[in-house]
Amino acid sequence: MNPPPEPPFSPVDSGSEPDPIPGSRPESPSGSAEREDLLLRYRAGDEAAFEELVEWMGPRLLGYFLRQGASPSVADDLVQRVFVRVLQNLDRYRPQGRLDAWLLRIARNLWIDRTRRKRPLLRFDEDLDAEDPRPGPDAMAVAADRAAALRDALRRLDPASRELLELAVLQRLPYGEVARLLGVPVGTVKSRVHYALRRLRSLLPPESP
Amino acid sequence: MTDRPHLPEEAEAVPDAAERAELERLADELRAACRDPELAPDFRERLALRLRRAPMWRRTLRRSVTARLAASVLVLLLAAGPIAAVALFWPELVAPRVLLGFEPTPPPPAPARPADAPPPPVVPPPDERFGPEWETALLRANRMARAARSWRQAGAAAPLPGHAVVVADWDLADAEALWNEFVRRCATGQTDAPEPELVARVRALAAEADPEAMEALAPWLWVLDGQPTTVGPGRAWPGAPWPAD
Repeated sequence: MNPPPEPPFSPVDSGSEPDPIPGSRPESPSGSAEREDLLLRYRAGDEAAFEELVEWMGPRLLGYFLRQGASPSVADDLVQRVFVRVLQNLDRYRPQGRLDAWLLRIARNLWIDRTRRKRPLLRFDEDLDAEDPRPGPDAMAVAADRAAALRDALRRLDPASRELLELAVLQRLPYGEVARLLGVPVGTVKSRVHYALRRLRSLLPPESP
Repeated sequence: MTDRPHLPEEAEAVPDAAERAELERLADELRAACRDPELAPDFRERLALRLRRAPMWRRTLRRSVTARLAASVLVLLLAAGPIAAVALFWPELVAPRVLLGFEPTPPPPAPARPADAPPPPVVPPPDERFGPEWETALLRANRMARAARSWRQAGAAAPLPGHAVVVADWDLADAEALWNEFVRRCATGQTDAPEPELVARVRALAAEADPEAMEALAPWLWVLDGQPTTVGPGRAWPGAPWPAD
């Protein structure tokens, strides 16, 4: 799987309703417009804009890489490489879409390059999920902790569903952005999100009454 | 993820309101369970250091003509070493072996002569070309050269050519005109053998045997025959060769 290029970001439906994901709470719109102009401000010489960008997107990118299976040190390194690549491609950036989607596209390309070159340190077995949808022993041990069970179930998802939930649910990207990033129709993204959530639900231990 | 995995039919099913609410709650729980971690305390310092080290070649090259020029020179310099090494160990690449040889070329085809073209001049054989006429003309030219040399050596004592009379026909020239012509030819270095018309006029005047005319014709008779005149020393200048001959 070759990572798609990182063109000047121009989403199909960037102006559409933000994130109609099941259960999503739209991100607070306050400050979102300013964030879209962070790179423009930096390109104009505002050094603080880049600091703000790191503060905003750094934790999100770190969480993205960790949930994709990277070790903490690798995830830290990859986040830094994302920002380096952002500055290297600063001239190509066109403020036509969501800035976070552009950064996530860079992150996804880096992760694809890395997994193609080298297996991730924490590797998930897709077959295990396919053969045995029940929680594993570890998940059973932490079943009392709902959050831990959710994280465990997320790790046990197949990589495609995990990436979909990562982008659509955790990163709160609109369906249009996700569809453009993954190269699939918007309708497919919607159905796959439903499917991934159902799969996630099936991997959870039964809730204690 | 561009490939579409085969999903079960229930995956395509649109959730009803109850399930949708449940999935929404599940998504919220997932989001709450997977909060983004904090960056390392020294993340920004390491990032700043990395950005300082990271080459922003593309941006620099795009903006600076000097940088593009420098990069081109650098690439040429880097490539010059290997190219020179290859050329050194493989000299035939740079200086291909030169084979000396002679490749005869066929003579050009003879130009086609038109049918009405004049015939080419016939060159007489050597015996005819260098016969008595040629020898006589050569001796006369030599005598004219000797006469011209004596005229130059006489300096101020040499006579100047008289007022030149344009002679349209040598048959009309008298002895005085022929004398002036002789002096003129010596003064101008015209040492060719006299032309047949002039020779005929000198002979005709000499046949009249007028003593005064013979005085003026003496240099011409010497040039023509190489013999001194019999009627007298003839008209001459100091050092002239014909009285002595």
